[in-house]
Amino acid sequence: MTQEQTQEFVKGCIRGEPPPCASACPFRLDVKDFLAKCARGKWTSAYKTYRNAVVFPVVVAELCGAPCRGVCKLTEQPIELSAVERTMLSNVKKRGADFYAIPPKPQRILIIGAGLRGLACALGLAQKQYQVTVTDPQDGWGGAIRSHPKFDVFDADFRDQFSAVKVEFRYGEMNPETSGYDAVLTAVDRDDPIASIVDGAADALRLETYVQTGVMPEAQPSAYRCTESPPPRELSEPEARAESARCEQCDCSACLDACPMLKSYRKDPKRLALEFFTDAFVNPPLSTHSMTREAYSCMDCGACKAACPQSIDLGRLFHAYRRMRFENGTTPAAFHDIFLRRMERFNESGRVLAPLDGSRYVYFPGCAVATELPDTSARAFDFLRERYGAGLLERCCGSPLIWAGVDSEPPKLDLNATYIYACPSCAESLRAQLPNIATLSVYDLLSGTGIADAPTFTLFHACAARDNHALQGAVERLASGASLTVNRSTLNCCGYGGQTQLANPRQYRETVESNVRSDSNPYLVYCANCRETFKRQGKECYHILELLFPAANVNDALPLTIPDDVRDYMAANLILERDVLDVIRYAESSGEKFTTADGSLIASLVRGALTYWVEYRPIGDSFEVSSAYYHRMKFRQGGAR
Amino acid sequence: MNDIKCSKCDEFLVPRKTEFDYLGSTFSHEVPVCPKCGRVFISRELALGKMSEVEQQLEDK
Repeated sequence: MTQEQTQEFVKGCIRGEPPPCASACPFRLDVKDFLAKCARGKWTSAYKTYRNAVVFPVVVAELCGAPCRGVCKLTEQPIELSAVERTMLSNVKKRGADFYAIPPKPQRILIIGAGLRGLACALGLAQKQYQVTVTDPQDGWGGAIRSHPKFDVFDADFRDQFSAVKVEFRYGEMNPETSGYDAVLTAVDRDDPIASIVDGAADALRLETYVQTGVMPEAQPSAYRCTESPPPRELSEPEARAESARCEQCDCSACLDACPMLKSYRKDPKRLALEFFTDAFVNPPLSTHSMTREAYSCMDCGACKAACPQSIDLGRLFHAYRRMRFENGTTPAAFHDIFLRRMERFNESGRVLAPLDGSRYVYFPGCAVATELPDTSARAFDFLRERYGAGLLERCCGSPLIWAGVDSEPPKLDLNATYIYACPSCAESLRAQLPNIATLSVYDLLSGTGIADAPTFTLFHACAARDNHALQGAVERLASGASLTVNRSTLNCCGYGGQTQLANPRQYRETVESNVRSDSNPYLVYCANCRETFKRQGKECYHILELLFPAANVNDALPLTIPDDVRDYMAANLILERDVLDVIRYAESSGEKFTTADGSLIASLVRGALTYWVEYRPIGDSFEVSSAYYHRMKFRQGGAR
Repeated sequence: MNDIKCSKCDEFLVPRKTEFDYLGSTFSHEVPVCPKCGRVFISRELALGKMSEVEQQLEDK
């Protein structure tokens, strides 16, 4: 990952960019910094910030039309910057200019015209110690504003600003001699005094470039036009401080506000891009990865993109980094191992049935619906086969591979078939990998069936359906028979997205708890992962398919007796009963186990990246489990002695 | 530890330095091992305590 590549993912991010007020200011005054200083009563410091930007602070504070007002985010009562500026000028103790101790430069520059433009240019060059001469046909400086009723205070401002520099002023000269100068500028004032100062300051930079390089940059006249604005209020010092403190110090934080993960790490997009780039070049053991936990904590739910005014999808940056870790073989396997093994098991054991003659429909339930709601899924398939002649494909859509950063082939699907998906993540994943695939949601085909006598639910939309408005609509229509309170506001991830549970258990727990707390109604969901996540947290939650196709009570319990506390621990750590039984069966068949003093047995089995341990007692044909845990480290079995 | 036996060898476990690997790092720690067959025992306390801590530290690198 090069820096250009990581920056490309956050291109257009406006966080850290100047706020609207500073962008509207013809001088690009750092308004946030200025107001922060004013709010603290640091008038001298605020004055310097202001003067360094606007050149002639008294003139500008008096004549500026305050374009910042119109763009202030506090629309009902914009910050009165002009009023604060005036109070600042009344309170600053020392208005004189700063002296810059730099060696004099030999170049001589003549500026014809002592209006605001010529003065701003002369001051800029004189501060850099060029030999500056200003001439004007009038009897003094100021140009057009000499006739302004407040010229006496402007005159004092000019004297203050020129007090620390050496400039030769020659008045009453109609045709000054131009020979002997390295550069000559005819400084014609603009109609607008503010635009004149902006252009004069820019002229100083252009002339400096010219005398240093011989190339004169093209002038880019300020587009600023002063508009009439009401005269600013008079503010006392405490009032000006309070007014300054009202500034919200605007910065875009849309993605950080929308995403619990970004919020907890407090890293903005540009910083993330930079840190992912530097992290990509670690050189163990001299340096180590620092972004692992962040990278595997992204829930890939699209909340950042939806919130971003520039529609930046940070999930792509996280994904690119995980892909890089996969390619260089440094993926922390334990983060996704359980999900990938579950996927493999589903791909091995899932059923496949061809469509009936004449049908192009194939029901694609996805792993979550097919394994969490097997009976419901089978009944939904029976309905689709009878009504539409649908075939069946119980295969993974590839989401777990994408979330783990695994470089994989898209699922092998028949591009002539129309796949009927039940899971929003499958729809998103298939569309991303196979853009030409024809898909339809099962909820479209079930429309009109209705749900009789349903209690009041809150429909918890799936984050994977964020951009799938057709799916959202189909589910809402389908549920219209129920007395629904539609929760449209969230579209938050339930917590399952990105399968971050093992990479960042705390974030997972907090996200789920927040979703559970946010609504007291039972949730109605159409993503089996949402259902699994909420039910595990004790939230009453139903998949819409299980209301339409209630599961028969089948007793497929494994021969295990597991106390509630152990069961809760297993659920929180994604230990399946099947994993436990695998360990016990291996121990019983191989004899490789330990016996404790009280007669219980402890055995272990390595499965993928994890080593599972189970403590149990055989009771008849069944096993009573008293503990189940795993670790991610691998140990080397010692040789026999 | 003294009261745990390897079921296969019928031997009480003894502490022995054992090597562990995780994410490219290797280190050793004394854990209960069957003196005869070398089978390693990791208690729940060790797995969810110290081992989990080290795992997280290595994952953060």
